[in-house]
Amino acid sequence: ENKETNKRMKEKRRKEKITFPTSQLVEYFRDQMRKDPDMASAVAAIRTLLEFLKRDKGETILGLRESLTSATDCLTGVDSSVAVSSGGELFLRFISLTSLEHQDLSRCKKVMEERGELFLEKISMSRTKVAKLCHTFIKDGAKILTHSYSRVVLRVLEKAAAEKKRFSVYVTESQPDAAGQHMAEALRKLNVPVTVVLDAAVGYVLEKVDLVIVGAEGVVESGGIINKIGTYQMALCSKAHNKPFYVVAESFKFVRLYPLNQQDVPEKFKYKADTLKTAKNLSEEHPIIDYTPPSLITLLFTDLGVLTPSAVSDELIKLYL
Amino acid sequence: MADSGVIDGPGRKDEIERAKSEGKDLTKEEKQRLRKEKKQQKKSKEKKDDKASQENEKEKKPVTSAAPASQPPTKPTMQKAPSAVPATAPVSVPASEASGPADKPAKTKAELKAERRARQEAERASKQNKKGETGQQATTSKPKAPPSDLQPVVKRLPEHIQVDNPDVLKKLAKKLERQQTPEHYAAKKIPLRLDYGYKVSLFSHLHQYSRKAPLTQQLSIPSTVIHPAIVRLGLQYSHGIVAGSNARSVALLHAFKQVIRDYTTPPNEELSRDLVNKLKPYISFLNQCRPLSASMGNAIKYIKKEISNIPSNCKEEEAKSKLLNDIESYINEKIILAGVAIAKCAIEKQKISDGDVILVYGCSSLVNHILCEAFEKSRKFRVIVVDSRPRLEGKEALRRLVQKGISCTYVLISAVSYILPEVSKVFLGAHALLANGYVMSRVGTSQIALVAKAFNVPVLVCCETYKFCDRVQTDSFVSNELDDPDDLIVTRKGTTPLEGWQNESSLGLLNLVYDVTPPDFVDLVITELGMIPCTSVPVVLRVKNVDQ
Repeated sequence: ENKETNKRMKEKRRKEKITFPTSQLVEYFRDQMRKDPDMASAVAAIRTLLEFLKRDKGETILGLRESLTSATDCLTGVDSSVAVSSGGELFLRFISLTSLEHQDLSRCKKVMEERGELFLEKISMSRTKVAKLCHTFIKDGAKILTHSYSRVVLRVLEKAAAEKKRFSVYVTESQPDAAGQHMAEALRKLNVPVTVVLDAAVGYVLEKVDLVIVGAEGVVESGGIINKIGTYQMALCSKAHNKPFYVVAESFKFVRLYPLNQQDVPEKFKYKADTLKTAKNLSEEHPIIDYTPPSLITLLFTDLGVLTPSAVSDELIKLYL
Repeated sequence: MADSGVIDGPGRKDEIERAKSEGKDLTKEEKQRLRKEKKQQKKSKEKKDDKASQENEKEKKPVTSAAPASQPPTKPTMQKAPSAVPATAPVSVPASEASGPADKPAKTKAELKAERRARQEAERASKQNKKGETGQQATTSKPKAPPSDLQPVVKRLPEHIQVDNPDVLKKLAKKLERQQTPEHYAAKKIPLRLDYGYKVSLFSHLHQYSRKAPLTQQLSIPSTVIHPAIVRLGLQYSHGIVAGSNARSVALLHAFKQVIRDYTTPPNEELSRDLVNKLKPYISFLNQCRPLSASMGNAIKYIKKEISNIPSNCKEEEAKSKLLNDIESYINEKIILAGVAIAKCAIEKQKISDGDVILVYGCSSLVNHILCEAFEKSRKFRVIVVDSRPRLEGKEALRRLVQKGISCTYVLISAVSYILPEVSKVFLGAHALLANGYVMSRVGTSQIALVAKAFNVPVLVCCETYKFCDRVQTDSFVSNELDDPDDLIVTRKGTTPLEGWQNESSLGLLNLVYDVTPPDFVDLVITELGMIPCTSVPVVLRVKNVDQ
């Protein structure tokens, strides 16, 4: 009998108008990104999902989960970065990790909303935590190499500058979107001496550099990272030069993927969302991310602490199991 | 095993009494101590009788002092170090204290202590003299002896890797005797299997048996001591009829099911304790036929735990059916369903994609299962089977895969660097996964992993979690298995060059069974809990221990 009622409810849900239609969802998401350009896309996604949860008028918990998953998929359609999908999945896990044995659906939803707010609060503190952990590794007089535009790395360098440390930064141009120039601008505002180098000049510049810090779009189960294309090259060169290669990432970027090599990364992450929709032949498009294996990474700075690549799997087991 | 610190005598005794009454299994240490104490009691009784003659005849001292010192089953090599004496002293103190008042109330404790001290001084003196004679064996025991100055907290080497030590062999023989009937009938003991042929010096600490001399030849028929299902199983193991770690574990569990079915509790015993004691000689027998694998060890631990957890008020029929159900569910969950889950994980997470060229080594039931499943889900791939002598297990894998219709290539391991540029992934099975992330598998596996790493080909290991073991090993010498060296003899074109290998004094044949692969060469381990890096094995072990 229970099954019958559930089925009927699902039908009802499908027939009635979805309270938060896809277009509104996307608008809200884009709005969030515009309001605070400094916010990570995953955080914006999670805010959107929380709003979706609040406005959702579903009748069953299973229906709620399904609609949240479909909302996440919809958001990855807008911004195909790894972090959005991992953030969405973690959000779903976090809110359903409590006992949902209440009789009343509205009370369950209230619990889930509270958990959602808690999650959001935790992750908005994560960048500060990472910066606090990492800035001590930047010594006075250090020369740092970084790749493309990463807000977390920017926050770390801000904190180091605030601690009155003197350092200089080399940034790669990071084609095809020249995001490195954007990073250089932001650093100049902090009065940090910056040099923009070509992507091809990484090997040339590494002998002058003391350490390499990059951000990550996603951290995979093996402890490797997925980041803007060019990161793998930089990691290989720094290994050859024996320079430490540090990665800074928030914990909501941990994703349940385990790529073995570059081709093992799913295609939906490799290209921008618009390209995925419009391109006729994907093999002619150039991927915008690459995978760096854990053997090339020295340490990862996350809000869960400073981790070695092999400890990432330990943390993931704790998060997911 | 936990370290044996020296606890206070009476306190330890109480602990042992308590443990006994609660029906729990005594740890190996406690049992040894009990036996030691009983023997000490007997000896001290005799000593009190001819105390006078002992003190007079100083020549007897080295003999008598050697006797009690050799009895305690602490490592026999310890008896060569003078620091072993304080270890035996605290043990003999409570024993004689306990027996003192019972035997001769006239003797005060102080007098006994004085006697003992005099004896110990004499022992120490004689040992100083003996030290020069012991020579070789003392040097090997030295790394273990020094820490026991304050307390004998010494890590003990397991017995199966001390075959070159004659005292260990003697102890093993005694243990086999003791495990039989409490009356120590020589006719009913489990025979000790003797080593065969010349052993290469690096591996002389391991057993090397010959297939032509199975253990059952020395058993009487019908054997009242060992259940026939176990005898059959032992023969199957030693002749390689049942081979492969999953197959051996499943066969073991089925044999134990038969044993439990035929078991009846003797009149004054409890099922939970007696059945465990009955299983011990079987396990020793199987160990002699072929050394136990890690998976079998875990299965046995599970069974023993289940048996000892049976409440004492449970009726025999109920208890037996519960045990049979437990074993059945263990096989089902940990082996069969785990295999299905692993195959599903490997296929769904795109670890086998279209156009892949997969390299497999030897015959792993799990890897074969995964490949067959993937083929059924219509993935297009081809397989390269690598094989090695003398077992040539790859032929069996080849047969199974070709039967399914998968296109295969067959090479010997010497060609692996030639064929690797074509390969996109390597799938390996495992015999056990060690706690430091090393993979123990068929000999040749680490070679393939090494060459694959050099060619940048990802290496995936598939392993169920019941094969994870707490041991730590970084090389293949410390603990391994030596197979029959006669397997390496081959007849080609009518001549058998190695036929008379035993007659050549400088020739040794080595037939290793396992080797150990470091975690740097392995990219991914697929278990039924998901895909984990090799270094996360201790995390899984920790999570599992918490669950239990």
